[in-house]
Amino acid sequence: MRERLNLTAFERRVRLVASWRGAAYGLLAGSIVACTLVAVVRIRGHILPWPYAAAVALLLCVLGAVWAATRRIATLDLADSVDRRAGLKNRLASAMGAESEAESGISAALQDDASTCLNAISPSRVYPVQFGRLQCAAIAVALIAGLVTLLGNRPIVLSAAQRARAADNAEAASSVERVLDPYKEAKPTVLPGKLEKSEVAEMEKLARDLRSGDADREEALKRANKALEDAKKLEAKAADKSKEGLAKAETAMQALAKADSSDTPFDPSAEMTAPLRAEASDVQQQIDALKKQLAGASSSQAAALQNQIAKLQDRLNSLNKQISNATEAEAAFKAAAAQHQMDERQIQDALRMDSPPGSGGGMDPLAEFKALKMRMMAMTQEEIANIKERLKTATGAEAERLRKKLADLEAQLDSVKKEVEAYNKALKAALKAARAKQAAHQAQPSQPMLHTKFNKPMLSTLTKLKQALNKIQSGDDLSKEESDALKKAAAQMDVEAAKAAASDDKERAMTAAVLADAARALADGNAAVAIAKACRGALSGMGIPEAILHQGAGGPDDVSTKDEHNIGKVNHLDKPAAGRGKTTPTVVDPLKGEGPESYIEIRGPASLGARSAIPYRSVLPSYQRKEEAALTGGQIPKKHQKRVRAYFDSLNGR
Amino acid sequence: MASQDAAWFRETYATIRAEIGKTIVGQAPIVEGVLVGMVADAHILLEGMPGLGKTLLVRALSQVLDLRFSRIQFTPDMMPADVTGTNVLSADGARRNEFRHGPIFANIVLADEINRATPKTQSAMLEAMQERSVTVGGTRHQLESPFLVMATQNPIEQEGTYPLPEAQLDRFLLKLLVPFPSKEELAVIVKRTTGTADSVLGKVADADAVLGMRHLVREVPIADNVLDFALSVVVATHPGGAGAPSETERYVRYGASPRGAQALVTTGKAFALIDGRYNVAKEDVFKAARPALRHRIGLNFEAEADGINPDALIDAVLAAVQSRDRDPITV
Repeated sequence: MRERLNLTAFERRVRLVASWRGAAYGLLAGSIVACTLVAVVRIRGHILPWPYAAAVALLLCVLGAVWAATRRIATLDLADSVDRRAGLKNRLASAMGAESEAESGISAALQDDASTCLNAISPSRVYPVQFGRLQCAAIAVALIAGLVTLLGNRPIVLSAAQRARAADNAEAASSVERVLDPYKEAKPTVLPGKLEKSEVAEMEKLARDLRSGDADREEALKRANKALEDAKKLEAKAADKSKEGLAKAETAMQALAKADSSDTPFDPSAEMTAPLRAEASDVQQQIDALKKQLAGASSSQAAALQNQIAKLQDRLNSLNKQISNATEAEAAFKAAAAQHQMDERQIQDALRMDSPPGSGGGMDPLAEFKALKMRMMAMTQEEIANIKERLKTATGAEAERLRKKLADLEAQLDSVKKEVEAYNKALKAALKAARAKQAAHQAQPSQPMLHTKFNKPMLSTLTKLKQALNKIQSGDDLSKEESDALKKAAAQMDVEAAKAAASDDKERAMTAAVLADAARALADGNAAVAIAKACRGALSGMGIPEAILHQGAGGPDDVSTKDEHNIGKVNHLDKPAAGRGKTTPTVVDPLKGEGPESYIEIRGPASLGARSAIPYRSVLPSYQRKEEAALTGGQIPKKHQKRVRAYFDSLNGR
Repeated sequence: MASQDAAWFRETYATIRAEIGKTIVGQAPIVEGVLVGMVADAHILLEGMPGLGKTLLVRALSQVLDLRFSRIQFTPDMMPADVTGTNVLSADGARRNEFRHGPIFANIVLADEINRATPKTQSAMLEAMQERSVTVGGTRHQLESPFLVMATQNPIEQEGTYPLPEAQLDRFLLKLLVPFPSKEELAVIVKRTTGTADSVLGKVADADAVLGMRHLVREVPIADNVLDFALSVVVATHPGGAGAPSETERYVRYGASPRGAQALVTTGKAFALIDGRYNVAKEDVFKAARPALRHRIGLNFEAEADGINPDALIDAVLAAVQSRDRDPITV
């Protein structure tokens, strides 16, 4: 069987050259279309931005290339074309037509001849990619279209009224862009939220439309009003979400507040394990319900139910284990707290003994003893002085009795002095020991310190969140600083949550995450509203009638927009530094209304659960083994290793 | 095998051509046309002034091919029987009719000044050309193959002539116009014919070779697009035909018949083989168009008045068809 003539290489080449030609045609057509569009848009009083015109031209260019490259090419046509271009005198077309009878006769010779001729020519020579008149024309028309587009976008072709209107719109667009400048920093100090980004994008589009003439200022104001309405709705949603978070976090805050107000170390509330217990209870109920269903289920359903029960049982076991761990940790903590209290009492007792009588506090028996001895000394010395006075005048037996009594009193005084000296000596030694112990306690952070040190950022965030929520719910807006502070607090909470999650402290991680979400949502919603307000303020400061100013989604009577009447008053848009529109920087005391923030640090186990009846000493060894394993296994970050070791040393009295 | 046959064809053709060239000076297109007519199994109409070597060419051809040659000089008083032959009483006194073969019974027949014969005689001649047989007295006599008629016409001295009717002209494959030789050619002719030296032509081929060449010509394939081109040319010679140029509409009374298309393709095939190709190209159709179509197109009086000849019209038709014949792939 003779090999068929293979024109694949020529077909590929034809497609390439055709796409080149098609692209030129497409560019030609695209340029003309773009030119027409620019003209039509300009006649209607708007401006077609050059990227759109360029996109139209390029799109048609690409479409032309694709269309030309994907057209069907008939083999006989291709053969005819190659014949013509390579001067093969119809050899290929004749050979293709005579393929069916190519096995013998002159047709076979024709096939060989055509094949030889085909091998002697190269596709690139037959179909060269040329930069011909068509391509030149396409580029020339594209350049003309570009010129027309750029000229169309210049005010020189506008009437005076149109020019003034365009300048007005451009000014308004600039104002909006200035408002947005701070939100488009290359590296913002706080990461913008989703809503904030979306609002910035919306306002940017508004500015673009204003600049291009797609929107006049009145329409822009309406759009800004609508954007503000939308942002407010979203802010309200965010506030609701934050409120829920706040409620959860407040529970933790109350527990912390209790711990702060008492001298006793942090008393972990059973509420901390309440979610776990509640979930365990739910799971148990589900298991019971499934077991009931299992009793009356068919064999096929029974397998599925048993599988479900097994899964739930696993979950229950896991929850119970968590609760148990929390309980054990709580027991250990309480034992440590009791020891701490005992130590404190001893120190205080010793200190009280050293204090003079009547200096406050109840009389100590030792102090009473010392006072008694002192009084005895004083009385003896007074009696000795009295007897010595009487000896001066006494004679005989009376003098002898007085001398004997004097000797007794002097002996008694010496005895009392010795007792007082011994007492003073012992007291000094006791004081020295007590002070040394107190110094040792002060040198090491006490257990209560640990708790609040970890919770201080959460408390602070909670406070900020509460303040912000109150402010928003009362109809006020947060300042940018407040909003940023909330975002920073949210970021800090993220870090806390990550830390807690790393140390397997789910409750703390959950609380921190809730706080982070709530703070971020609130800040984000508020930021979006602030942007929308600022932009609308920028637009409204351009001399727009008040009636239009409030024509938003709700119209002039929309209650939600009525509090925005003063937006235009704070307008320093001609000064780039004042580009935030209405947003006025205010200094807010983060603790306003909450009183001075005070806290103590409590050192305690990271995971706190329900109270436990297991003695502290019995769980400590296993905890210490875990601690050693965690430290040697590198699970504890290096910067925290010292603190963890110190904590367990203090528990053990090491 | 086919390529060897084609090579043999070219070699034989070149040999015949060279051999004829010993006698005929110049006139290359005419010699080529005559040879094409021979290998295409068709008849040739030669038109030219007297003394241009028409008879010499035909005689030389018969000598080179070793074929039987006869010459008929047509005159107005010539009868059909003078061409075909007739029944005569036998000379031996047996009182029976005996068919005496006319000059048509040859391989190559030169019908000199065919337009001087009466239509009746012309008709008998042309019937023999078409049927390759002669019927006399109810008996059919087959002509020997190969059979080639070369008729000549004198374009001047039209007085007392009977121009061939269109239907009969159509039976000639080609009409060749014998031009006057150039001065250089004329000098050679004069030297050769006025000296003592007499050129002797060798027999370089025979009837079998001619038949083999004819068979090979028939085998040459033609591509659809080339055939389409040839047919477009023929159609465009008709007023109102598809793609007919304005010249056709203005000057043509009737266009080429289907035999014209056949002539184009057959001649094209012969030209292809002569050119060393195994296929018909559009160039071959171009080359064949004038000789194959010029006697098949009837011009009107306006053409005559405007000095338009068939060749000019064919050129216009070719130009019109070629302008529409574009590369199917435009890149």
